[in-house]
Parts: sequence; structure tokens; C-alpha cells
Amino acid sequence: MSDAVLEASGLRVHYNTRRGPVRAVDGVSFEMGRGETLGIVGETGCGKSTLGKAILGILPPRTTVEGTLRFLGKDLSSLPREELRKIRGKDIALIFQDPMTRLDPLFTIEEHFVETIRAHEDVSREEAVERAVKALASMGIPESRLKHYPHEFSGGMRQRIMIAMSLVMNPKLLIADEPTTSLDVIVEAQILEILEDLRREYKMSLFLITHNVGIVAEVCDRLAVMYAGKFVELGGVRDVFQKPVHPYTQALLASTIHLESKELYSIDGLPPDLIDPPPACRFHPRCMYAKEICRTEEPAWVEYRPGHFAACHFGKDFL
Amino acid sequence: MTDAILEVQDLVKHFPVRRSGIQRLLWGRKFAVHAIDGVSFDLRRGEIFGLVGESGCGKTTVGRTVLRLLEPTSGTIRFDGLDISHMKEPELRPLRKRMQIIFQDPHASLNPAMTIGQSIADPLIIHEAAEEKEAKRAALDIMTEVGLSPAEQLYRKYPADLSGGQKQRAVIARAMILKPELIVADEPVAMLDMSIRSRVLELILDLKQRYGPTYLFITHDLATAKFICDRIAIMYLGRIVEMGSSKGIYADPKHPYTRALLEAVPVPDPTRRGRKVLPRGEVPDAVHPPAGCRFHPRCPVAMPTCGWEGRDFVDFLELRWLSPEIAAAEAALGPVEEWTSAGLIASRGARDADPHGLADQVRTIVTEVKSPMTQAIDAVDVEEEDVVVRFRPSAPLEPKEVDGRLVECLLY
Repeated sequence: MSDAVLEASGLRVHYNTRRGPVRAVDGVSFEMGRGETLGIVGETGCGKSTLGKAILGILPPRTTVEGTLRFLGKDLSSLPREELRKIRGKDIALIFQDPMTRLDPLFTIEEHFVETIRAHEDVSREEAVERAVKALASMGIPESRLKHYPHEFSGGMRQRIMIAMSLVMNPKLLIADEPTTSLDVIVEAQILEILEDLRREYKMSLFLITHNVGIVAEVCDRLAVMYAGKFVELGGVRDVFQKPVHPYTQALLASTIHLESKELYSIDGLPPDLIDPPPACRFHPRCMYAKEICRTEEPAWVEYRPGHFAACHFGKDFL
Repeated sequence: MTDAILEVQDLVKHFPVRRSGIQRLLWGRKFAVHAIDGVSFDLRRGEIFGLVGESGCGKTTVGRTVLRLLEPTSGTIRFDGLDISHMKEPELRPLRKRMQIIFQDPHASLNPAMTIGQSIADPLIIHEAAEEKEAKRAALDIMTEVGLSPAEQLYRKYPADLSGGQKQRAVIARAMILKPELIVADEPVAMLDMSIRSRVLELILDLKQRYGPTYLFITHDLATAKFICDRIAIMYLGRIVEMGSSKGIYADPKHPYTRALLEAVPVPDPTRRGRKVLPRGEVPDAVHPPAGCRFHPRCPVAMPTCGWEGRDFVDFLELRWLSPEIAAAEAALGPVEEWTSAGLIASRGARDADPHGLADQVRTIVTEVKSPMTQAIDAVDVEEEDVVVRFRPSAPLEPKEVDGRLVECLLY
């Protein structure tokens, strides 16, 4: 596909620690279309945040990255530093879980905007402020609050400010890492609506990392389920929610407590240690359907329905 | 004797806001965070009572105050018929072993320098309920019961060696070892992954079956509360807005806030997407809670009698001016910093402008924009060169019985 905003193939990210490499992302391939929302779901430590950081190129030093990442056709790893800096924060923007830790408490909101805009574009201070006012107004924040400091805002307001700040640059791709996790449900729903509106208005692609499958169901076009550094399933939300193929996806959906849950369901065992993950299918120690082959052979990435992939030896049994 | 283990009446807890000498000189008045502002409920023996609300609604403060980890500003707390509202620590001591708390963050609840076993056995030692050997045996028993097995082996481990789910089990074991009658569980599963959450909830239900403690289950998660609670109280800014059986509340929420909360919960079904009706803005500052019904500035079905006041008018102007055209047309009324509000009044000094002209402009806006807020405005006048917007006082609000539950809303 040529209109892909982002293409990852065979992406691997290993954190080198004293105990050995932590295989946080271990062979992940996918592409994202323009204006698409792709959700990445998984539990703590499955590598979903590392994946987001890898796309933006903000991994800590001494991290091994393999495979390729193409943004609008350009291989990000081959780009010179300068060029990468221009893309980062402008074409690819990022919003985090906790906006308070990403805003500098010593600077007013106005300063944050001016600095961000002028780091990427050669515009006057006045013009930068003007754009800040507009961006904030679109988030429902009045001009009178420009001179305020981060601590003077509520959590939801701070997240709106972060979103406004990433949007002044008109990004092509927005990476949102648990953008609503620290917010209350009503504010969470408000922020999700804002993201949805913006994506439509600006034809922006949204890479949404979350542990909350409810959020994915409400805003994503497609989702990837991640387990122990690998994608186990990828497909359109309707397909994956209604006919999940991988036993982990099935279990994850069943264990989610929602307003219509009839019973409590939990997955036995714990997510594996990514320094020494189980061989072959990484889910096999916790899988109720596991057979010998799951312990010895890595399952292939098979397209079960158009655009609906999963990596399970017995995938066709669950169709 | 009633069958209530805990009776809470008109509970109030205010936290004074500390201010510097200069601030006190300038403003004089004392400020306080109104964490709980008149809350009443009973816990029946053996039930799981859910206290549900967003952050800052005061639910955690209620949990801590009923356990007397905090002293109430006013109101009464009766534990097993005994008034403990202002009891001193030596008298509270013997009662403490009958009430326990489980905190949200299992990582912060266990002493990293003590082994898991020591932590779990500690309450027995502290309350002098058992000798060391006996305490160890009891700890091993309860550990097996909460699923921390092999207990012998885990007894010697340190918190750092355990996963989040295991730690929370240890915290629950520690709370259960004294076989307490009342357990306050403050967001016990909020920090756990989905696949583990269910198991911890099952454990809580299981222990209830076996020992019959009463739980005050504090959570922001409506889905979890629905699953586990017999009765529920929905809190908003220090008040209970709706209280009744979980079944009734989830099937037919009465208070607009309860409805909003339920509406906002994401549904894991992509075929049922749709635009939600959400309340505006966020929970306001608890130092100056809104007048009347505290939810009125955000309420989608508010009425003119719900408690509109001066600052609501100023907020209205500010939001209105987010649109550049309107802001330009009404430039004479701005900027918003020129407006002050106190109670039912909002006012703006006219300075160099003609106050009667400004007042006329305000009147036009108020008649053009039909909203519960504008309809609550009594008059727009000019007083001593100031434009003054005056609101009618709100209707009195008190909890009412609606379909077998308590609702605090003027709709009923």
C-alpha cells in the first residue's frame, strides 16, 4: 500500500540490562493508513508503550532496535538526526498518560506553545501566540488562561492542553499512550470525543495505546492485541471483538469487567518475563487449548479473514 | 441494637487550606476543602456497600473518616452502636482490630523491609492477639486461603519478589487475619491488570462468604461496583446524590449525574458506538463548591432553580467568547477579568464605558440565549456605575425517597 502513513516490518526493540536483553518488542509488523485509528491493546509490560516510543525514536540509550519503520515511505532509521528532529513533534506528535509530568511547571502555557511552535517553524512570537489561542479555543480553553501555569489546570484541562500543543503543528500521525488513563470516566469520554473529532477534521492517523478494550471498541478502526512483545492478533474492531481468533484475545475480552458482564473471568498465570520468554507461542503456558506443538513451534501469522490476522496454531478452530 | 455495623450521620470533613501570613492579611477569611459535606448512610452487617464517584468526590475521605484515621469536622459515626466520632486513640485501639483497610496501591502498602509473612502476621502481634508462633501459623493459614501458595515459601519472600496481584492478595490477607467485622476497601483492584482484577474480586467475594465481614467498597469504576456491591451510594463533590440497591441504580439511574457516569463508561462492543450526552467540563474546586445542587453547572437537564449564581454567568461569558466573532461583537463587555462574582451576583465596573449601554447589551444576551442559567437571572441593573447581574436564590434541596432509593435532585 502506497498511502500508508506508517509501515513497520520485523520491528524489534531490546533493552539491554545486566540480566540480559529484555525483548520488549519482538518482531512486529503492521501498517497504518491515512486517517486511520489503530488501537494497541495489551496488559502491563507487553511492550505496547515501547512500540510507541520506537516509532517516535525516543528510546533510552543502549537499546537495540532492528527491523524497519517507514513514515510516509521514508525509512526513519536512515534519516539524519536533523531530519528526524523535524519530523518528531511536528509530523509525528505524542500525547502521554500523565500530562502533568510532560508540562514544565516553571513555564506558562503560553511559553509552552511558543517554544513548541518556534522549535519547528520560523514564525514570530505574536504569530505563535495567535495560533496557541486558536488551538486552545478549539479545546474549549479561553484565552485568559494562557498566562496560567500547569498546576492551575485540572487533569482533563492539562490533557486538552497537551492535545492542543501537539495539534498546532498539524501532525500526520498522533501517538497517544494511554491518553485517558489518569482521568475520570466523564472526562475520559470527553477527551476521546475530541480525539475522534480531530482525526476526522485533520485526516490525522491515530496510534492509540491502551489497556482498556472498551476504549478501543469505541474509537478504533482496527486493533492489534499484543502479548509478551508480539502481536497475537490484528484486524478490524468488529471482526476482532465479535470473532476473536487468538485464545489470548478471547481471554482478554472475557476478563474485561463491563456494565453487562455476567460473570468474572480471569486468565490463569502471569505474563512472562521478557528476558526469558517461553519458547514458541508465548501464551502457551497460560492457554487452555495449548498442545505440544504450541511449546515447540512458533505459530505463523495467518490471515483468517480479509485483514484479520492471528498467530495461533489452532486459529481455524476458532473461526 | 440495629443490624447496622456502621451508622454515619451528617458527616462533614473540611480540610483547612493553609495560607501564608500575607495571604491571610489580604483575604483574611479561612478557606477549607469541603471534602465531605453532610453524608449519611448505614452499613448493614454482611453487605458490600459501594461508594462510587470520580476523583475528588470525597469517597476516600469518607473511608478514612469512618475508620477514624481522620477526625470528622462534625456529624456522627457509630460503629456497632458506639459513637466513635471523637473518640480518643486509647479508646479506639481495641476497636481497631475489628476494622481494617485495604489500600489501592499494593506496592506502597507493604513494608519493603518485612517479609510477606511478617507483614501478614503483624496485626496479630500489634494487637497482642497471638504469640509469635501462633501468629505465624495463622498467617500461613490465611495465606493459603487467599491463594498465596506455597505459603511456606512465600512467607519468607519480600514484597519486591511478588507480582502486583500477589501483593494485593498479601494486603487482603493482612486485613483479614484479625477476622475484622468491617473492611474499607479503597480501590482495591484499580491498579491491577484486567486479567488479574477478576481473581482479586473473586477473592473478596469468597472471603465475604466465609467470614461475613461488611465491606465499604470505594471505587470509581461503575462496572466493578455493579459486580460486587449489594448497595451503592454515588458521591459528587462531598455529597451523596443517589443511594440504593445496585440493581435498582444500574437498571434505572435517577440522578442526572449517575446517568452521566453510566453513559460515559466505554462499552466493549464496536457495533454500539454512538455520540454520548456528556456533562460539560470537570468536577469543580471543592474549596468553593457550587451553590444549590453541586452538579448544576454541568448538568444536562438543569433547571432555573438548581442553584445558579454569579460565577456561572462569568463562566458563561468566557465560554461564549471562545468564538472569535461573538468575542468581537461583545468586546465592550470584556475582558472577563473585569467581572467579579460573589454569591448570587456578578458585576462589572463600567470605568470609561456607559454602564447603561453595557447593561442593555447584557440584557439582550440574556434574553437571546435561553438556558436554565439565563432564566435564573432575576435582574440586570446598574448600581453605582457597575453593571450588576442578580440571580434568584435556588430552591431548597434535600434527599428524597424515589422508587425505594434516595435521590438528591430537584427533578423529583
